Amino acid sequence: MHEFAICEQLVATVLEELARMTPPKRLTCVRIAVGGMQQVVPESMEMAFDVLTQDTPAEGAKLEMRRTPVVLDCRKCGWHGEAKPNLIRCGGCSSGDVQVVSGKELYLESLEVEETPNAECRTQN
Amino acid sequence: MEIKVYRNLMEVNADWAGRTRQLARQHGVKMLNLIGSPGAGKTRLLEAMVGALGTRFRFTVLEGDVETIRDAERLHKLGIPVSQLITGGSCHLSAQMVHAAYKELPLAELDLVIVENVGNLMCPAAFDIGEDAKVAVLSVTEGEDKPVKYPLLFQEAKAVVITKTDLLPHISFDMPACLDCIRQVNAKIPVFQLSAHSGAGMSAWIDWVASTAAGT
Repeated sequence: MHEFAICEQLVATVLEELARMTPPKRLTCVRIAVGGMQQVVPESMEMAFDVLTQDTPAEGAKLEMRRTPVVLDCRKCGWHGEAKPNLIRCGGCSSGDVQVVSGKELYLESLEVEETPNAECRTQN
Repeated sequence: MEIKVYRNLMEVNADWAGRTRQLARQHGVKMLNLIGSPGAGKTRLLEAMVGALGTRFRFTVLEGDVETIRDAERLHKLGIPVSQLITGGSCHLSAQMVHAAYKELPLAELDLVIVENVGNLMCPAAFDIGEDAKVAVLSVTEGEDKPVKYPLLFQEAKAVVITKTDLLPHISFDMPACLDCIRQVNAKIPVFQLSAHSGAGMSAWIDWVASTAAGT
């Protein structure tokens, strides 16, 4: 259940980004990228996101997770490519002397927003 | 309208881990982060390390648990300086929690801090707490395929300790299959097979810890 801890950071980041937008926007969707090696359960993330965004400007927004592939660089033969599931080995020469260049990341990619019809009223508050 | 925003979701955690690393550098202290399932034998391993490490290095233990101070009491009885971190339900130690305890340690009098993370093979692997090395602790009673089921930990770790090897004659654990599973996700990682109970295999592990503490 480390999804809750990750989501706390996500919501804090999203609220920070929303606070910067002038005039204020309504958030409809949050897109995140999750590396293939990160064991993050989408349902747990969605549940945590819904709970943590209650009574915030992000409430009601949808959360979309994009899985990014595990990509390796082989130090032995120079091969560069996507790893097979649960196998951190070179796809060319099968060497284990590889560097994981992506697959462990967790980042916010984009926000989908709409203009708020009553933006002026909200800015005056 | 879509607005592109590239921001690392672990940046706050990474920031706290960075503060701990800065303190560690100032005082020349190294940190190990022991991660394994509940019951893998992490506390027992620490108990067995006391005699061997106590004479070579000045060390302390940060003990992470969801509840109770039982493990800290076990280690305290052996004369190890230990601080208990109770997460109160959280499945891992965050860098911020570790930093709060770390900055209170007598760092000038220490060579090594060993963190025993919350018993869990998954969540602690995703959190940098400012350690020099994560160590995956796996017992022979857990099944050979854990490394491929929890690849992030075995990929992030700098060493694997396989504990409770004194039980091997009594169970059907397939050690070569387990080593193969470890190699599938991390071909070059050192693996220490040991029994904290009998002491078999402990010296190689202690040597590795000593070289990590010495920064070599």
